[in-house]
Amino acid sequence: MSVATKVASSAGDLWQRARQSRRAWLGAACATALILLSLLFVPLDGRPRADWLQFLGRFHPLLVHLPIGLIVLLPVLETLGIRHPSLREAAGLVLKFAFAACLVAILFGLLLAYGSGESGTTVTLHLRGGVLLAIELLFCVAVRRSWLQTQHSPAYFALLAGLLLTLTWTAHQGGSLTHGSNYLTHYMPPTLKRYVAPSAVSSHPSSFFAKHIYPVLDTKCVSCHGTNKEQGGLRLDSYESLMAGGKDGIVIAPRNPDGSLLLKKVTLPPSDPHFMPAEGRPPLTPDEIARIRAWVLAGASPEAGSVPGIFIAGDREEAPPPVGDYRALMGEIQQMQQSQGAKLVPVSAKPSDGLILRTTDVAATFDDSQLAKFQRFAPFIVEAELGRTAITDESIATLAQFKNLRALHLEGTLVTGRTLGKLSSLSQLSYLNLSATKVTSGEVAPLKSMPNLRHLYLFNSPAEPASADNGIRSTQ
Amino acid sequence: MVRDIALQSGNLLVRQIGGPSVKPYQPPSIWEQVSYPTSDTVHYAQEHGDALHRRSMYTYVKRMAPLPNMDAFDAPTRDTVCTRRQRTDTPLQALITMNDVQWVEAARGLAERVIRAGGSQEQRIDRMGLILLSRVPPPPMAAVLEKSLSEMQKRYAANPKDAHALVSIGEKKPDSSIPEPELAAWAMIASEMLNLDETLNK
Amino acid sequence: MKQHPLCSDCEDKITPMDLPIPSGLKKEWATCESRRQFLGRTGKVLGWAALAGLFGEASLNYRALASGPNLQAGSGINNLGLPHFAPKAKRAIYLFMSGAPPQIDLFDYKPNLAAQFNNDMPASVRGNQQLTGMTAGQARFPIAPAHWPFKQYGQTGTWISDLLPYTARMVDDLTFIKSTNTDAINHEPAIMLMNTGNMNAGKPCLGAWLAYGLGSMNDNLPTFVVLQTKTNPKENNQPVSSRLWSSGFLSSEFAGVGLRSVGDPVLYLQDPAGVDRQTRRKMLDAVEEINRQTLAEVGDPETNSRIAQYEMAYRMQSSVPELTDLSKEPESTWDLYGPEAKEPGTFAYNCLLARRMAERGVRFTQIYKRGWDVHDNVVGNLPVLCGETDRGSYALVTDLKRRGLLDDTLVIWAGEFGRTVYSQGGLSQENYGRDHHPRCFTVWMAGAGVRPGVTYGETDEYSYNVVKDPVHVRDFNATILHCLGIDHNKFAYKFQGLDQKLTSPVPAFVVQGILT
Repeated sequence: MSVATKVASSAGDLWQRARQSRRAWLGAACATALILLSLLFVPLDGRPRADWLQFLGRFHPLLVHLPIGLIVLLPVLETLGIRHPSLREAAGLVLKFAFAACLVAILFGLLLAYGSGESGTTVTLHLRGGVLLAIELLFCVAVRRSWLQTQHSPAYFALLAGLLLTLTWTAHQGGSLTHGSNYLTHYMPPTLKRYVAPSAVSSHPSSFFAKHIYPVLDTKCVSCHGTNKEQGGLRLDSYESLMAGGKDGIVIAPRNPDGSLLLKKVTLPPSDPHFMPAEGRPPLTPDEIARIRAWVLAGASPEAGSVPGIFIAGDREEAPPPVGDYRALMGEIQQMQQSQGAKLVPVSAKPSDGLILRTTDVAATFDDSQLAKFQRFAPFIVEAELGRTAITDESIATLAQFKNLRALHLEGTLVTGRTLGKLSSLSQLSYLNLSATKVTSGEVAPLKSMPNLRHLYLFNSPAEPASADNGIRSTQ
Repeated sequence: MVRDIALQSGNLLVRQIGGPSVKPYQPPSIWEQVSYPTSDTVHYAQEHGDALHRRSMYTYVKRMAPLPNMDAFDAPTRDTVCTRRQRTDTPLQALITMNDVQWVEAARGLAERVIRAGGSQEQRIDRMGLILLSRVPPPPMAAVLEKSLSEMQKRYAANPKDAHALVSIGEKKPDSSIPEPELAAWAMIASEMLNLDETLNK
Repeated sequence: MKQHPLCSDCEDKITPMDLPIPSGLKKEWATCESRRQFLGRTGKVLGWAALAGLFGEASLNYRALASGPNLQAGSGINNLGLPHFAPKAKRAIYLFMSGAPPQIDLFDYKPNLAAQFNNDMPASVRGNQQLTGMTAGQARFPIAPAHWPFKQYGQTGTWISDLLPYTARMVDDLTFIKSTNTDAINHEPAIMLMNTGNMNAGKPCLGAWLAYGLGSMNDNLPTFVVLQTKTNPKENNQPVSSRLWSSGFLSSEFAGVGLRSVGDPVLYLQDPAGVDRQTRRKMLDAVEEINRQTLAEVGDPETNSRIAQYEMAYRMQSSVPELTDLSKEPESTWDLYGPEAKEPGTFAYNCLLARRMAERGVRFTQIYKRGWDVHDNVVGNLPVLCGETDRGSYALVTDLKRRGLLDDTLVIWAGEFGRTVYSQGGLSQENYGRDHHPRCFTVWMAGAGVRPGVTYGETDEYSYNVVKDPVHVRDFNATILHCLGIDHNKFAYKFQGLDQKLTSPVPAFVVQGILT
């Protein structure tokens, strides 16, 4: 008699005896559990095997839905069954059916994993989860009998809860295998995303790579080229591994998209055996390919905020916050203008866009004391054109009160930079022009930490960087 | 019209009626900037003598580049119908009435006219007022003009070279019987009166 | 005068302000009232009511505009409600390439044409387009590929001809529109269309609209300045006319002021010989004092305006020479623009002046470069033209950028139409000519409001027809207005019974694809 037959007959004996005695029954349950646990040792070494294994294995995603549905249904029936005995009976059937279906699913899952050569953390986790699920179901079967007798068994409901949790976790792993780990968070609103899914690329989370390249790879490539699997020795789940390449060499050649293997492979005809993504996974859209191409052409940087020529709708700068309504102060504003000569010009017909302080006509004589007079309009002033005026360092403190200031022109003034640090409190400041002043790089340094200051101009000043940048520095 | 007033008051206006269009003073390089290279109106050949002082309606018109000192005063462009002339005030008009050769020459002509007619300072000023404003300048106006006159006289007496330069502007020769500083000072007063809002508007 | 049957009051007690007549008419009456006083007549009030039917409101708007946004700008309040929304650009510089540069030889890279040298252009491409009289009679329309190679530049990998090495350096800052198209096939109507939005004369140009709508940023300089580049007699210089910077039906104070390279930078700027600044000041003081007396006596607000304009003229006499005085420019300027920029009248000099004007708050500067009309001898003429303009354009954009001015300045480079892919006249390996081509041409923009490194629109393989994202000249102008915060549909002026707009009554659309 073959081993299989012996096992089957002894299992059958066990089953018969279990039906008769509780002890035997428990014994049978443990034995089954042990067999299940042994499945954890099936070698998943990443080597694909026979086609028939893979063929059958591919039914796992189909079959797995059955135990999922049944396991979810089980607690519902049990809870409702407290009042309605008929449902309780149904629950018993559902439980047994779920266990059986779970075993079948595990079997096919093993065929899939073993056959297609999947390996990696997620696969292992998913397998373990599935096995654990089966064991829990087994215990449910065991415990249920006593529960039925005593009518109250917290243990049983605790098991049911545990069952649901295991199911959720296992199913999530399974989903990640198929769709990528960011499947649920990809389109999440940004406010939620911050809490739930911190960017996988933690080093430069607002870079073009992190926002627009990595998600593509994660969704479409990492399932075969990531921690789960490393086809061709290539991992695409981090910038470093992307640039490192795999068995066939590097896949990204900075500034040379036509020489980048990754791009070559995704742009092959879909029928080509080397076309990527392989195994019928969804191909990259032309948009995604264009983005990768442009990013590679621009140097494949992990930190650049944007790539020339590519514009993503969501990247459009957010509109600045509105300022208050200055219309009530119009009379005063006109008086100021007549007496001072400097003007307060509305940005637009909408008062909430604010005012610009324009000193062009009286620049030569516009000094600190005159600026101080405009302080009462400070909340409405979003831009101060003080180029070539008689402003000195003393006014920086005044300007630091202009909380809504977005653009500040100090080119050609006597500002030395001594007090520039005070401007760091201006959270809205995105433009600062210090061209043709005497500021030095030391004095400008504290400004570089201002998050919004994207345009800092130092042309013709000691602080001007020597590079070809010509004084334009962008934090992007 | 405005130019004609200036010419007439300066005794320069030539009253000949009819005849071909004439080309008065124009700054250099206006036609060259716009013309087709082989056009026959690439180069502006200014005429001389009486042609400079004809009524403005006889001025040669090139539609692509109208005469600047008429254009600045809203002369219609002749591309479209004009039922009502615009009336504007621009700094370019101010520059023309202050600095254009035509106007400086006319101011000098007016100065000569009132000097030749004789009389005291007040009488000369009154005459200017009658010519330009159809009334004798009221005392406040006259006071300002007299004060200005004495300043100008002082200045040009001290700078005869400047006086000479000023009165030599324009192709019409200055009246040699009048001393140049005197003529220059009165030319400035005449220029002031020509630039008055009342003269140009009313 | 006999009382009107409908009036119960004595005629003297009624003023036109009480009558149901258009407000423009009322304004007209108010300003003429002073003239009446001067002439000593009492108004014939009811005569105004009768005239209400004869006058159009529009013609009376001139009076309302006489003080215009320029003076109003001093109060910071624009009575036209402009800009409609927060603009990206405060000022614009327009580099106008009069004559029409050939897009195939400069920007619109068509490598497939090299193999088609001397092939006949298929008639299907041309369709039923009416060609100019210059080529309609040609027996053949042989394809003339670009004589010069193209290369890719910058991070965007944009293809630029070897003729424009300087422009190539800044491709990452430029926004190209390759699908611009127009309706006119000859220069005058096309250039009018580009500048005024209409092929017929008499409409205000873009600069005049901007001066009218947005006003001045600097009370000492003109709002709208035009710079002419000296013509090269060897080039085919098509004429331009003062219509292109005219204010049309808008007040003439919005017309472009020419900044000249010969003689006075602004016409009549210089005081006459023998009059120094002090004398001029004294003379002006006298004039203004008398004018103030007139104002007190007569009460005409125009007098006030005149005083202001004389003051501005005086200020311009010092501010304009300061503008054109290049002696304080650092060496880095000449390194960038080249030594040509020291010579007044050259394109590089004009670009440098444009940058200086941007610094000083001139709202709109337009530089004209004539000579691009290469009907023949493209191989001989085009390198010269590019040599004259390439470095200056690059220098301007770079200079603005490094000084922080590009963030709120819009730079535009455009001609009036494109040029044909087929050769006009003979075609040889050494030379060819190109005729006018309205269906597609290339323009570029840089700076505030437009996204750098973007190429918008595509033409077909012959650079003959637009195949993707066409941009009509109207749309182009609408986009420029948009960058400056103006909704082109709302920005209108009633004249001759029509709400006149820069973009004409035909609907125009802002090109969203290139906006930031």
